Amino acid sequence: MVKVLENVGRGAASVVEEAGRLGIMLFQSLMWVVRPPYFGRLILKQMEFVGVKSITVVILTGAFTGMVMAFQIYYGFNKFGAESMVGAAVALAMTRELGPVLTALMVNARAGSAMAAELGTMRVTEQIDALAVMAVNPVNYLVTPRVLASIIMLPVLTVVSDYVGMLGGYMVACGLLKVNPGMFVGNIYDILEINDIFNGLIKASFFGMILSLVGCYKGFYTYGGAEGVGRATTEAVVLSSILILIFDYVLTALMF
Amino acid sequence: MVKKEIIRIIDLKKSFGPFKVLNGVNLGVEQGKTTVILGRSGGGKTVLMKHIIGLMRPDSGKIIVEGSDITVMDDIALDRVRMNFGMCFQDAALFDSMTSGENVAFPLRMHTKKREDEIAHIVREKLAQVGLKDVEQKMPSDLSGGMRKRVGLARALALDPKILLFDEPTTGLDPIMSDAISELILETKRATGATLVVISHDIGGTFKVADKVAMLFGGRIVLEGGPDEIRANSNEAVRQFIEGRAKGPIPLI
Repeated sequence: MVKVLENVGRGAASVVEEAGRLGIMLFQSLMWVVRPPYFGRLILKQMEFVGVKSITVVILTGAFTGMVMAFQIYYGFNKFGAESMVGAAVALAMTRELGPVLTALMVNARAGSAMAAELGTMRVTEQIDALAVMAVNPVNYLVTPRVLASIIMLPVLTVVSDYVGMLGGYMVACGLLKVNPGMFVGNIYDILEINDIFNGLIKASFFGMILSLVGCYKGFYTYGGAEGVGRATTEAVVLSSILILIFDYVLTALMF
Repeated sequence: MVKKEIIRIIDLKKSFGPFKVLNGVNLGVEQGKTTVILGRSGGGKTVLMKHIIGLMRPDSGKIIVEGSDITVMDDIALDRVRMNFGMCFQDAALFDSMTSGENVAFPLRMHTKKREDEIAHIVREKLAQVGLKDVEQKMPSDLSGGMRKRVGLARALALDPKILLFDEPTTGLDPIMSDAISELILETKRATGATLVVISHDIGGTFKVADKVAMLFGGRIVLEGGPDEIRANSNEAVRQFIEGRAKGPIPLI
């Protein structure tokens, strides 16, 4: 019985400790945004890595999600003769929910894992210590550019995802299911508001922060050689996926 | 002659959980001399070195570098002190996303306002100093272990530090390359006049480069002195270590 309580206590303590260290790293990485020295070139390089190089996966996931949404929504709406609203429903679903979340999950799998693996390798081969020894703050040099680039690029990718999602929905609805194209587009204009899009983009920024911060954090505190790097990468992807979905709910409820 | 100490470690203690890794280390490092800290693998040598350069904070104790205690400094003050240090890591710790030349240029780009052609000149000079040429464009992964250590030394030398730290400089190298690195350490000291701190378990290399040897056991410096004093020491544990015997008073595990 005591052992059980001990384990519960230890588990709770480690969760609190981890949350605290994540918070400290977030604070430090944002502090270095305003404090010199600045590494503008590194930020651009990370923006390319997180943003430009994720475009293919984001287009593919966005397009197919929009296409499948058109099918499913048509199936439902068809039952009460509201096929013309398929466009608006796809648009709302993409901009408010699926665009930001799926983009974040895909970029997390691609870039968040890479961040954990790269920083983890740098940790176990003492490259992070080498930075500190050369009087270069490792958080400023490694974490801040990644976090900042992700906060900036996730909304950009989400816009792409929103757009191709609607395009995919249009092709399925109007091409295969013979929904009137004028009605499809017209209803999007009537029902979708600019705030729907903004809501999604705020979420996307937030998700960008989560996935980069968790990826960097797990990499930064890696221990135990190659196995440690593997563990850090897995933990980073799992933890940030969960956090993205939890904060998706929290942010949606707050902005509702 | 008055001996000037550039680093003084006072009663340094550090534990990881129940393990007392450093249990009251006292040690002085004389300016312009080579001090070798000798001890077993896993005996806290690297932990001690990480304290000297401020990568770890002690549980208690002081480390005085040039008159100021670095254990109580904030990051900015610590970075200023670190500018006096150069460190060679055990596996060189070169940035593997950069070429060798960029690695050596890194501290110069970070901390000086030198033009690119000046930097290129210094990089060539530092690489030549460690016996390398035409490796600027090579990636660290394309170099042998010995060459990586040399590039690491060139990077450590880039800002002309007053104090050079070597973490196990000869570990993982063949005997000939080990000796070449020992020669390089001697040569570096002659050329730069820097204070050197070397941690090692390599007996041959230690006696070759050391002005002073300090033996770290059980989290304390148990013995310090010139290489000849150490070699003449009749303590059974010291003899066991320098003769490399598994049998003796020092337990294996």
